[in-house]
Amino acid sequence: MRQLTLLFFIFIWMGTSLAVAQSASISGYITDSQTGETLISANIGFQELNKGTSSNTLGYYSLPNLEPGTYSIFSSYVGYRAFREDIILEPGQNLRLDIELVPESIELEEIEVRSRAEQEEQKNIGTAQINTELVKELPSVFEADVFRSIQLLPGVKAASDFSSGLYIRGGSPDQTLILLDRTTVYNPSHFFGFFSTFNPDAIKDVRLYKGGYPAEYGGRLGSVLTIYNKDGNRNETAGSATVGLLASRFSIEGPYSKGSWMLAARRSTLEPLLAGLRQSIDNVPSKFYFYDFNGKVNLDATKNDKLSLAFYAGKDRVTFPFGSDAEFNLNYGNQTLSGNWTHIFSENLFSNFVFTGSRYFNFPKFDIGGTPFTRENNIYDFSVKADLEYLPGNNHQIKTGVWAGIFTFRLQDSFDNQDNFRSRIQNQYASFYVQDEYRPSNRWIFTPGIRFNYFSDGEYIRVEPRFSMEFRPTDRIRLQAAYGRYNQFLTLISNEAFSGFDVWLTSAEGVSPSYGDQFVVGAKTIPFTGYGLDIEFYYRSMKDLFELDPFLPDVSGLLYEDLFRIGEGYAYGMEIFFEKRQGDFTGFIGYTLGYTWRKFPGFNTEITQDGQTARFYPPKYDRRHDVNVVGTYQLSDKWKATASFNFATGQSYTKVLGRYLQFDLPWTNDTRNAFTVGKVNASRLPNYHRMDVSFSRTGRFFKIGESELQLQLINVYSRRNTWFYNYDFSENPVVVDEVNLLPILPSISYTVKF
Amino acid sequence: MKNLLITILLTVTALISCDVYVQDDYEEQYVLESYLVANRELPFVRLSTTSPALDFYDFEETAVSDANIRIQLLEDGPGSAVDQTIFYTDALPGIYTPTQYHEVIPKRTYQIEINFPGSTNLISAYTVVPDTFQILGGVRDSIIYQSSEQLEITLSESSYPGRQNIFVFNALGMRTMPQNLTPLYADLYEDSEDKEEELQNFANNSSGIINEGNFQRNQDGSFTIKFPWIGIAFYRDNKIVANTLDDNIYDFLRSQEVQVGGSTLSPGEVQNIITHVKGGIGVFGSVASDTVETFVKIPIL
Repeated sequence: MRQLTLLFFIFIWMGTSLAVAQSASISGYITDSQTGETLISANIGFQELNKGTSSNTLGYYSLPNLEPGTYSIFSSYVGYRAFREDIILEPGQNLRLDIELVPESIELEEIEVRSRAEQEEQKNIGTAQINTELVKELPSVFEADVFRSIQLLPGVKAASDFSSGLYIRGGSPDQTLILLDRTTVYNPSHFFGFFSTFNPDAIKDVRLYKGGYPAEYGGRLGSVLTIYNKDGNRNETAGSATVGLLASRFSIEGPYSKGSWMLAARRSTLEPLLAGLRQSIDNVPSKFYFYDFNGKVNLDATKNDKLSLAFYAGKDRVTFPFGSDAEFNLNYGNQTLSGNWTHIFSENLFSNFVFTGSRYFNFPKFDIGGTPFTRENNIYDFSVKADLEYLPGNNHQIKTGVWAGIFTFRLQDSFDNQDNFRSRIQNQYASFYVQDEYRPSNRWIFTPGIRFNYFSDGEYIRVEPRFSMEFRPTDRIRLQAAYGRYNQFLTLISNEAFSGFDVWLTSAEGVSPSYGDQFVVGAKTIPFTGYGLDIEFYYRSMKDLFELDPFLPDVSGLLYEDLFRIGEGYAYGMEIFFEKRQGDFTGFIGYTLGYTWRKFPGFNTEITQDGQTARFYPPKYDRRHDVNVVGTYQLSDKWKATASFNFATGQSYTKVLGRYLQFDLPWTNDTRNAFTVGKVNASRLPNYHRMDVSFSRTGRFFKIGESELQLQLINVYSRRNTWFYNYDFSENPVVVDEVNLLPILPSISYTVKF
Repeated sequence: MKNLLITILLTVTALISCDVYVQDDYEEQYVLESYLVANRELPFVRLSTTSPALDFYDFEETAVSDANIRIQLLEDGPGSAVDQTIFYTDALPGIYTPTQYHEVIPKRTYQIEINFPGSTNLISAYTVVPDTFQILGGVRDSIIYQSSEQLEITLSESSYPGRQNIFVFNALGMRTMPQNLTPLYADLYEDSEDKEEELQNFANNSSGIINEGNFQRNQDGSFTIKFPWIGIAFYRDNKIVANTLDDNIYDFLRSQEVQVGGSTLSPGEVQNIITHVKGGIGVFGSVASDTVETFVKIPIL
């Protein structure tokens, strides 16, 4: 018996060895044939085997443990022609195949045969990818903007026309982690929140995990937005220059002997306009500008090693005198730096190491009647990350990694040259995760994962289980579900109307981190060729939400934990996304039905309850229904039209019910106006709707290069949407003024590509 | 696919037809207002009601008369036995005055009770009067506006149960002519539509809430502040008043300022003012204060 057992194991071992010895693999990078840019999440596979994968965030793919033989390998990516090649895999061969995909041209009316895998694109649960060319085509207020484009997706809402902040699935903007080349960006806005800091000429990939995001990310309750800068054209030097009404931008990229580089710059061009206005109008800023730079250098050190260094620097500056003895100054911005090393150990093991540095600064200053009010707010975040992707067998793809860093927060307020609040907090943080994408068959995918987090101030250790699954009953339907626990150690003090004063605060001893659970179920379908229809339902809880108590006029002398109010919330909803991807006319319709609620102690109580019985209420950005329609039509070889239409039911607001005055405060002659209200935010503003159109004409700029003239009209029928109601107490009875959002606005820009 | 779409439509219909968060209707509330000042005579009490928000507001139209009002000095804290009772009488519509003289005692608890003939409505509130303090000697008789030598005020040690002291400072201009306005306030006066009213407001210019934590604490327990130039609206004679607040006035002020804007709440998100009045709203609060005088000189340019 013992000999039989021994023989059994020998046969198994030999069989395995033979299998291992005979299997082949294929791996490599997928890039753009014209520019050499790596393509993220490009599809690759074998039609015969109905087996495939997608390239990772560095454009690398690997398919190990393949039966030797002759195959037809395909690869595809939206906006590129499908790639096909016949290959022969010998036993034991590890084939390195770097694939260059050719961009589609406008002459190509119909895309040829596409694999089903390619049509699915990046359709993981809760995920949306933004086409960077669409960002530049969409009509936008003065300046093409990544965040404004993201706001058109279902599940993503905007607070107002003036804000590029992302309110995703009922969460506030601080619940979304924003990564630029894997580096956290803390205040990604210019022009007081009007635009994001991301130059559309510099970026390559924009991916939004709206909810249920995987274990490789953490630190925010809601969502993750990853943005990657271009690497730079590896084949030729190229660039573009754009002149616009608000700002102009310039970018250039090119190869060098060992790699590529990219540089992009953008600056506002408002000075002539401001100078003209100052001749006849008071209260015009004496300084008002913003700029940003993006840069990247890539070194292809060896076949298996790539190095890159990327940076971003941007600033907003305004100086605004008001009155003969009063002035306001604001200086805020971000700087990021990341160094990346990608190393391919083998066709089974891929690694990426990165160090990141991020700084956010914010220096507002008021000087009123000889009394200065100043704030100095700095955040420094330095970290290192290491990620491994391991393919032990074709059914498993294991990702694991660590992220560790130091986060320093400095806030110093002074009034009349005296410090009245000073805080310096330095935290160490660390995370470790492991997840396994397991495909037991062609129809099932299971992705369990777990993430551990540590935050030093308070010695918090948090465990975050994650799980997602997918079932494909047919090739045209993907049913998905996900669950995750998420923690957040930071909170943002911000004003919806004005992001220039944003301050981040952290959890600490006595202030527990927020946490919440997310449940997502959905279906991604291809109802007809060239169309996509996605439906997703979500529910998320939010516990221990800590935010600065809005009822503290002065925080001097208070303990750190007394600065906050601690509450809870939840959100749920449904999103439908219908998309046409092919032909002269392309576009999408997105619909969101969403509910979000918050509750804080002592807030939204009944009027005579003396602060008891707090009730849940909807925050202002809660909108019940939100519809976005976007379409692009190729009118001719030279002309293209893009339009977007947004309809949303009204945001919530508090209707004031009663009024009284307080006359007798001992130290003042002022009377104090006061309202009584019922439930907070139980009323709705009028519905919001707006249509924007854009026409672009391509041509030639002398013999230098291609040109594009873009004419846009924002709010075509000048709908005066309501932002909020303002109460004028100088009148009796009180007069209610409607503060409106943007009127009709034309915009023009001209771009030259060389 | 068709069944899936029908299911979604039915779910959506069910969800959107339920609105469980409905706005309340206006409800009239009693409004109480009275402020005790330590070491001063008991104040009058103002009693009225709210009116609908967009109606013309006239105090006399909302004044409540014929109420029975009494203020009681308690032996210890809230809920303790009554030490002394002072009754009030109608003086004017909605204004009630004490029927006997009583000087407000610092650090003591006072309770107000109001009822109405033929009604079961009852209004009550209490306040803990702040400890008194003094502005100690050494205050400059005169200062030059926006010079390097600011007005420094040293306050004697005082305390409030359970928290740091909370202050409001105000500057009372004694010669309130437009030509005496400091530059910042002169600009505001020029832009004002009701100049007379604006001048009256500037004549009593208050700072807003300032925590004791802002001040430099001296070894003897006193603390010193530099009075900011932004508080000075008029040249020449000024009285500088320092006030400490009880919890009721502090809660009223900080929530009233948020209600009219200027906080991290979104525009349009409004909540009720924090009041500690049972059976009504408003403020039954107390302060302690002291005053010093100084002369603000016009700077030589």
